[in-house]
Amino acid sequence: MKEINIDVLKDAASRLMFDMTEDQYHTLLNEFDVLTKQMATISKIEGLEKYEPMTFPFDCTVTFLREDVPVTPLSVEEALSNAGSVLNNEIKLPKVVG
Amino acid sequence: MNFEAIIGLEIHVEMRTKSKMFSPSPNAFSKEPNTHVTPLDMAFPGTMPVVNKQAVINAIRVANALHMEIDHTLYFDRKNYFYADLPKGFQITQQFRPIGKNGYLTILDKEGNPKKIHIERIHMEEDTCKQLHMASYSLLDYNRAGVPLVEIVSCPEMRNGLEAMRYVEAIRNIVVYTLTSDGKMEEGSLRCDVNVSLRPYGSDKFGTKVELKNLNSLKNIEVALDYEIARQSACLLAGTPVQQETRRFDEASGKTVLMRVKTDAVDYKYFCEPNIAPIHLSDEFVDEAIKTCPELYEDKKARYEGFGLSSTDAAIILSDIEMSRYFEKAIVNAKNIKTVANFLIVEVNGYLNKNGMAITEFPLSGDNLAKIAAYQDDGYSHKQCVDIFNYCLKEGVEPEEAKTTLKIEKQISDDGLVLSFVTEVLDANPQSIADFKAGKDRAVGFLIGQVMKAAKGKVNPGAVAKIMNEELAKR
Repeated sequence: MKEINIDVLKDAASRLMFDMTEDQYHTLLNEFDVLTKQMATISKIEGLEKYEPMTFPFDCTVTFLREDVPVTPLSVEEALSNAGSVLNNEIKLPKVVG
Repeated sequence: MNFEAIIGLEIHVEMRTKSKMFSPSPNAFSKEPNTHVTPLDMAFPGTMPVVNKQAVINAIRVANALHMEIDHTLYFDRKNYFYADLPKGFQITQQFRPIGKNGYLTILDKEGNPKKIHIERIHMEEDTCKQLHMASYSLLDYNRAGVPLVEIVSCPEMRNGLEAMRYVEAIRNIVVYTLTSDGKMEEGSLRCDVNVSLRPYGSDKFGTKVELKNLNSLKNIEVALDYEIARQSACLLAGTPVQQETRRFDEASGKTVLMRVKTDAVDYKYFCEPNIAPIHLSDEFVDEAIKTCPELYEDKKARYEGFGLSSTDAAIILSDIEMSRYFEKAIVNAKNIKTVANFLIVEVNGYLNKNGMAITEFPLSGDNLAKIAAYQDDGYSHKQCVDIFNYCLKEGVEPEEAKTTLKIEKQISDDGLVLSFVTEVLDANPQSIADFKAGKDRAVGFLIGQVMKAAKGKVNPGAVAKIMNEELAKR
């Protein structure tokens, strides 16, 4: 497994266009340390390779399905209120394909 | 050709539900962008997906029509990717446990023989938003984000463009007649991605796969695939390896054009959707979805053929579900269903084409069309009935009123009366009889014309022709 260190986190943040402080990187790294230690502990269990990955982690099912009834949608103003740039009621982005 | 084509299709079908797959946002066409959006569609924090019951019912119906094993527990997964078309950062789909698997449908191959195409899986997922790419920016409309989709994945068992076209046509008929979708390829509610590769005949290894996109009509599927098979074949014969790439079909040139070369497969890091617990579907629920499914295309076609319609005529009526609905109404009290079908296929379709109209806008009711068709079965000529039909459309009146206003009288089919007209004409035209005996067949046409003239058009031309031939043989 790839080692998670500050450089890996900074690379990931850069590619995801996240702006993070040094403190936040350290908090995140500490959280990853806990996770990787847990993974290492689990990996020590013998015979793990014999088990198929689970489709769902809990052995439970529900029966609820939503009735096909539409609700009143958001107004255009509300729907676009968080958009950085809008043109003709569409969200405007830098061109995302070449 | 030296190579065998291996063709597999992935078809995405937009479902015609009232609300979206996981959100209660309206699922309807809107010209105004971002008007059919709820917080879940925009991935607002705290929103949770809830599965649409009708979308599940539709998927069960399609899976059943495709003879599939139906999974009675629904599982959903996240397909992770970072792109603006789904703001959650993932698409909810059914990667590991599709609702249906191991199905098939039967098409006709090039020689007209039945061919079974196996279907690997059918699963439910959500559509992405609509993107409009301009020269220097992109625009996003989230009305389509979250619209329910079924994806149908075939096994790679088609061998040419015609088979692929017939496969898509059969899928379209299933989704349209189960009322799952309007199946309009040109509007994007049924979208095809086609994978095609070539291999030498006899080989069991697959060649390099090329993906074709933007196939927005049945005809384009056939043309694009036949072009692509010829292109790859020419590459291989020239010793040039086929590249793994995505190509689009250029309708104007009838050719496929390179979009992008494929490098490594994208890792979508699928994992189970933790916000939707597995949903158990009871046997009763699944059975009820199947039992209440509207009549399937193939069953309807068999029923129409049972009325005496040819396979082609039945397919023409069924090519438009609204046309089929009109036909069903028209035949409720019809005297002769075949005559109604003929009027619908020829006269009604002609009128619709001429006026650029859809059958839903056609002003004559099915009942009135059946009345006009019944006149023909009662002895009025087809031409007289067409006159009534046209007058009804022009003046907006009932068939009975049109018949009275046009002073249309029933043609004489009585053998005795027709014989008297025929005898009179034959006696007056000995030269035409001689011409006929000398092998001039056109003389019969002249003689029939004389009878029609003498009877002022009131005799049935079919009856005249029959008796004329009998009388000529006697002379």
